[in-house]
Amino acid sequence: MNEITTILISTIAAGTPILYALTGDMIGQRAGIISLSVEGSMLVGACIGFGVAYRTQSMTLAVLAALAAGGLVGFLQAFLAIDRKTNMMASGFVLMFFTQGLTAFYGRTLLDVSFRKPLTFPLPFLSEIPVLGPVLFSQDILTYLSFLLPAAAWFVLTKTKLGLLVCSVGERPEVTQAYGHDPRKIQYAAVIIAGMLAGAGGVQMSCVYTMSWSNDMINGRGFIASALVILCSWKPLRAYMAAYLFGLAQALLVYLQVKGVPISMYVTMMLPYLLTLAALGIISTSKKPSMPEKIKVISTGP
Amino acid sequence: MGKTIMRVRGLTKVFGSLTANDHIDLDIEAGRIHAIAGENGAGKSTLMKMLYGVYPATEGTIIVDETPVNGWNPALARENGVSMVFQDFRLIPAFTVLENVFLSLTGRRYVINRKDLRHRIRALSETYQLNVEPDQEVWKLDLGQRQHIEIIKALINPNTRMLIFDEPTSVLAPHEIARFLDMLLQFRADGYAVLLITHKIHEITTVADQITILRQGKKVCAINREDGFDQAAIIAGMLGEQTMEEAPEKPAAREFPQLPGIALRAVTVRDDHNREILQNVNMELARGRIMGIAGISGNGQRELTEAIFGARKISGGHLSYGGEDITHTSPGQRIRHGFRMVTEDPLHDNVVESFTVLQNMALAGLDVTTTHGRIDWEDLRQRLAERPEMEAMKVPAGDRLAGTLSGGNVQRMTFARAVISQPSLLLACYPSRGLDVATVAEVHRTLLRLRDAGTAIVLVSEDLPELFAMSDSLTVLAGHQALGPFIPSDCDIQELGKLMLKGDGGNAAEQTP
Repeated sequence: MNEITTILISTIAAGTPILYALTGDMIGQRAGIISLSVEGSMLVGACIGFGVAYRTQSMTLAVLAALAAGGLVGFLQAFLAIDRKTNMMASGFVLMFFTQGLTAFYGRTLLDVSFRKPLTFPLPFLSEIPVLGPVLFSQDILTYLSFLLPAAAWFVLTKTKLGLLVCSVGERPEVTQAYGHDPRKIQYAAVIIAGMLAGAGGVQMSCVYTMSWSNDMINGRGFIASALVILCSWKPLRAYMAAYLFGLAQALLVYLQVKGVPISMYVTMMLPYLLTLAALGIISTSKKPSMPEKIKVISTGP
Repeated sequence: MGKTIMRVRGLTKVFGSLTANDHIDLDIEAGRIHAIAGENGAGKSTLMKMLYGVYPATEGTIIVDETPVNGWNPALARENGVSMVFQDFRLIPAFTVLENVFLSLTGRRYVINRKDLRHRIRALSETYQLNVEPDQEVWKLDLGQRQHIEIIKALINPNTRMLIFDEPTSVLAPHEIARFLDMLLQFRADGYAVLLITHKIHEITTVADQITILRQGKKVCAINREDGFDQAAIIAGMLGEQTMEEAPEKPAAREFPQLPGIALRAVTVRDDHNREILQNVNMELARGRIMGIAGISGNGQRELTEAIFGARKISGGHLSYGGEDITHTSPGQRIRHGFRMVTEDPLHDNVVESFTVLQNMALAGLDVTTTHGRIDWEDLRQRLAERPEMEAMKVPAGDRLAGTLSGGNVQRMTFARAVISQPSLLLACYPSRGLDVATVAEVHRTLLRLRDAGTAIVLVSEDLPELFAMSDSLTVLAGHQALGPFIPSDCDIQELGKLMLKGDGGNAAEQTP
């Protein structure tokens, strides 16, 4: 394998958990609720998914458990933000700290174990393509699915009635209601789905990417995903670009370390975040109002 | 006479102690335009909302196709062919026209068939000369076009046979009204039953086949076109015992040379999309004068008044107050100079909805007195009660929440509030829009009284006769320019109207297909 392939493989690997959380939170934000709790959803997904995979040796059960755990955190966020009308930033943070403790406790027996064999299913022929073959077609199921995820989200959000309803709630819930739909139910569903997808991102990270569990292993990726939603201007197809940009920064970090480039590890560790910050700083916020109106109210005031 | 679609018998709606509708009877027939006329607060909107199922009736029956309905609600109404075009549009600005229309469809279709829907929207637009393109985003459209989307939403449902319009012309520019009325006639010709809520006499007498007049929740009378419409009789029916106010006699303006006026020099302002909507505006306004701002809506009226008030940045040129350059001062500083503004949309811009009327008045009306740092509400209440404006403008009771008031009541409140503070400059945007005849007359009297007490007034209105009657000078906004000043007594209303249309390089002319 040449170096480009290596970098691309780690780009995809590091970008995939972000891609899940990012797409999930984007759906939630389109419905008007920011889920900083995707960080927490990723954590419980990573921890519980890894635990289930380790004990049952079943990846299917692990993913189901991660979806449920992540969705549960999403449900709590939905309850606090929608029914209790708490500040959704604050509730997201609190859920993150709570899940940090919870997963550290639950995961204390998982710290010393790791998976030996990777869970990849190389696709015949396709994975033989030079350079890109191993990158795109020698992956695990969750990564294959993640390739389709933003496209699916794009289809649902822009081409279907369900998607328009979700977006209408984030814009003018009173209009949604006037059409006989319950904005509250739609928001609940969107935020729970955001949590479930983040949970899937978490289990991908622990079971596939690092193949181990360590405390607080998500390390802000959920927050990054939430911020990257802005970078995408709430457009699902841009999730690919945003998530893999972050993944690339991570991959370069590892690559520079392996190459022994004499930069402090701490400087290189800033790289992905610096890139994200730069991207957020550059993105134009003028022109078309792409931000859902209800999110605008939260971030810039009515 | 067409087939009777809906019969209403003894329909009553009670809100708390208020009887908004008191035993109303109506017959609505296909192929007829039925106007529901009445002053603000006569109960027109309440009645329509019951017919469309938004409010359940307290008493009485709605009979559709000779069958009394049970559990009438909007979904059921639409199924039975009753559609409503609301005054406040039910649209999502970030969506395209097509997406908004799709959301309103009730069918079991989960994936948008854009091609088919686009075709149907275009077909309806063509039939009724509606000015919308399916793929335009709604936030880019003006109110008239948004109304067209609402009409398409109603017509695209093949069941629809009865259209309810709630004050449809209140959002339209004068030149759009005639076309709108033509459209109503076309609906009638195509067999739709049209229910038109309005308080504008001219519209009623132009298109209605039948008029039902409401006053204070009661049906006063019903008149058929065959029996002849008598304008005076309709007005008398709407107003009851009150006599029609004559246009106020305008006394000659007094001079206030010692008081500072405002002046704009080469002022440029930008709209919300950062386009220069007005360029090189020069105007002067002395104290004790009313400057009327005429123009088709959307030609910079809002931007200009906001710029003078300080709510919008002046992107070029200078604004001065008594010779002092205040171009870059904040609204707060200008309020301290005595500037006051009643905006186009007071509920949105001027009022805290969760505050009571009294609290809102204290925010920017009368100065409050405090005892040990606490606001003396009783004192404020008493002082307000002593103000003649409160009584004359019929401002609602002080303990009502602003958010629960009707649009007209919010307007009365904000106008009274601006007037009470004896401003040096009053920016009054459409102060009489949506108000009943008697209150409009009171607004006019109040403006003249203020003028003669030395206030400089900028009066923005769509109503040319009003502008001519009230203004000492007129400015026309058209084609990114402020034209004028014109002296009302020296110019002709037709000429000015032409100027408004001809100079219009904005949306109205260009977007007509």
